Amino acid sequence: MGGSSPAPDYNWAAWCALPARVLLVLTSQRGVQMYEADGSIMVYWHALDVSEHPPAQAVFARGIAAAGGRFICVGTSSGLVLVFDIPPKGTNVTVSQVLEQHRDAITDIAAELGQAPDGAGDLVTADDAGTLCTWSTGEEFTLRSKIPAFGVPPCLLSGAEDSFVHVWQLSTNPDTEDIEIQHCHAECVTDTQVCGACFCDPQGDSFAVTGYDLSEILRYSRV
Amino acid sequence: MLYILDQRLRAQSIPGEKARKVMNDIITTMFNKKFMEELFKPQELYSKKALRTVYDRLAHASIMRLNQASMDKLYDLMTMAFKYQVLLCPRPKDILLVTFNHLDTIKDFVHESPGILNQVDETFRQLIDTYGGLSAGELQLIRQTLLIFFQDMHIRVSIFLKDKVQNSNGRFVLPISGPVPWGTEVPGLIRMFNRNGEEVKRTEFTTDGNYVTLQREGSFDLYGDRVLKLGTNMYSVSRPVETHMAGSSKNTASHAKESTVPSPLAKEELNFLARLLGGLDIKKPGGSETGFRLNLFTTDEEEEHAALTRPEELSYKVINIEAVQEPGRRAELSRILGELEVAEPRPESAGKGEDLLALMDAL
Repeated sequence: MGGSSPAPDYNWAAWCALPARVLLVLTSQRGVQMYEADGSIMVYWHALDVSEHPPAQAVFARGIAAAGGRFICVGTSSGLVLVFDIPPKGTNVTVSQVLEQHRDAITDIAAELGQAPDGAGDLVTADDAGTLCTWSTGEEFTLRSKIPAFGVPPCLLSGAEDSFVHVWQLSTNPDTEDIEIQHCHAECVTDTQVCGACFCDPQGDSFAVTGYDLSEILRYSRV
Repeated sequence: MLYILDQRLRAQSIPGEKARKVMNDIITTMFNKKFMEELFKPQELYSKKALRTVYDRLAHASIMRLNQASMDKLYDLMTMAFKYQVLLCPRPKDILLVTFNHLDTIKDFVHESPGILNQVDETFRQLIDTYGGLSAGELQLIRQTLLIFFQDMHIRVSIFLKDKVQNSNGRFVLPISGPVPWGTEVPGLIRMFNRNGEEVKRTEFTTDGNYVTLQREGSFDLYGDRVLKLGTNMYSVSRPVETHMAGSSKNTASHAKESTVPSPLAKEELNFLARLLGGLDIKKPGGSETGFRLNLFTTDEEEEHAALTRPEELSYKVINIEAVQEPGRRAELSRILGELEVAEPRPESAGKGEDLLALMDAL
């Protein structure tokens, strides 16, 4: 590998096996490098944009996975996930998409080999705060679900066809570190089989409810 | 449908022999082997149009006739009753118990005819085989699919309003007291387990609900106590309640606009109908039996009034055979309908006799 500047400190390396070819992907503080499987030719080089990161924050690329039969995904310290579209031959690699769901550095990325069942995600990205995102790969990657970071959320909401919506308080027992639950409130949505319920704000001060045969969305607030 | 017909036959004082013949004819047609074979095939949910057409056909499987207004009312009552039963099922598997309640009563209607009883028992066995082993998730999916079919239907039924089972806005009452579903506990207890799976703490909470444990499970056998009351005959002899329908919950100023443009029907819908109707083996009545017209209302005038004032949004679209685009398909359906046509009876009352095909062609 030639070049005038000294080789970067590589922190991650992975073989990415795509149907058409296998590439060796290396990440470092400078960016992403892709090589032919035998390491002989550098196919592509992507420099990380330092300006995207706040000053004094470490800059690096981390987390590599081949996904969707033709993409290579690489995570960055800013939380972005770069999606590279890889041609079956040659060096015409392009950045087809940048996924912007994470706010913390990407810890790792993993992808499903083969076809995921309909509606299932086939790519998972994780960040240092503990947030997980699942995606469906393709021409356009779509977010399937987002699981919030570590820590026990304060409130939980449950709704059921018995017409009740319950609000529960979650906490961690300081001595045993076991998770505990307490019942906070029950709301009876008269004569309605509740099909969906969710909080409208992060503090859990209000929630919305939908039900079978109901053309309205009902909203309840803490007084 | 059979519960309502049974009640109306008694209310209209139709002679026992005739009434039994009508019930037997309809039941034997419904439980016909070929027809059941078609129904049991895995398939998509039927369209509202197609289903209504099949029921029109079944209701006319004997010497009994129904005017459009009465057929509409019959269909309204039966769909709302069935919606109620499916909605109120405590657990998904209970939709089977509801079905078994239906079959138990049907067997009672035909207890004097061993041949027809056999037909019903055959279907019973098929139901147990096909659905008895499904998981709670699969049965809930069936229940939810049925509920989607009934969504937004809020016709008020006076027997339901009277029994406080339905509100004046057409929604059904969901009780928050009574037995919990079989296999579930009364809510109110929180149990906490540590990471070794040992119970370490218990707390209680209260809600407005007032539930009790269900003492026993209904039977899924050919014979047995179903325990669940949903699906039993609410029009039984001891409760001769009027089956009249309260108006629609919406007051619309719209009037029926006759559409002369035939609607292009989906190929699948036609295929399905052809197969189903082909499987209905409707017997032509003997020459000695004279037909009669059943009225779902108390008087002919009421029936006429209902026909004139039925809101547009509640009009049932029955499949118009003439609107069928493909000549081959049209000919086939006409042939099937022709085979099923019953000889026009002498009407007993002054009501207009409806030609069967005319009934089918109503849009």
